[in-house]
Amino acid sequence: MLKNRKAQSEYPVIFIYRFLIIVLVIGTIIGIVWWRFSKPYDVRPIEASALAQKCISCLTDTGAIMPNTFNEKTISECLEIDKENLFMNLTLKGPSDTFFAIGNLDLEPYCGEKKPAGKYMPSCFNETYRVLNSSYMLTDLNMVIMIEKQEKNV
Amino acid sequence: MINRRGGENLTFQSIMTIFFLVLLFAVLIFFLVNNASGNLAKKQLVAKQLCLVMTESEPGTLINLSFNGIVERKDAGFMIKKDSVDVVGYYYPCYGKDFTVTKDEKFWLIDIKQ
Repeated sequence: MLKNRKAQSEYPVIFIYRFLIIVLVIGTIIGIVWWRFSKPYDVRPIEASALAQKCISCLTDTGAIMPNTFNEKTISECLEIDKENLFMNLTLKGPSDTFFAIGNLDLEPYCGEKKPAGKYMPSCFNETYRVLNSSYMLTDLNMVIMIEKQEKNV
Repeated sequence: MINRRGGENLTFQSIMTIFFLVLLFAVLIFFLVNNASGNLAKKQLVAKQLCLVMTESEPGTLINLSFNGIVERKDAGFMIKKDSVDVVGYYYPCYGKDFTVTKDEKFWLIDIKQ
């Protein structure tokens, strides 16, 4: 009788011990799957590329970039610029370069910077396109587009 | 009598163990199935894809979207909800200047005006 009681009194200890191991194993499986698959998809490079195409189509509405339309106003009329998470710098090459910038200027220094360990950097897109200028000559248009939106993409 | 009581106690504990085990495995299987089928990322994917398609679209484009959830315009981006019970939803900020989101019988219609 005494032995039986002892055995019974130990059962809850074994139960808790076993239960904890099972929780630990299942928790680990869920944790690994969550860690591996729950990261958001980073679409910022594609987004920047799409934005660049959109900007070009806005600026070259008449087929060429005109001096009176190569400005912030044209872009703002075409796109809803997120002034916190976006930075754009457009430079039209020529005898005298003309450029303008829109958005969060604080993002600019991060383009080309090496990513510090454990830190997230804004996505940087830097491309040069060949476009027609006002005298219908081919010229280079350099676009630097930086998108932050880290909490949605990283 | 005493032995029988002990037996009842053990049976109850065994039932509880099995119950918790089944519950834990149900949670695990539910989570894995949702992950493997892509359900957990569906709202995010729809919002981001719509944003990309809209950014690249010319003015006057009409996007037909077949989606079982709810698509709403929020500021310049899209809010995607699984159903009317889903209060939080998933929001992705975009660059849409002038667009509307409506629904006909089958499709969500995103009309890009500018």
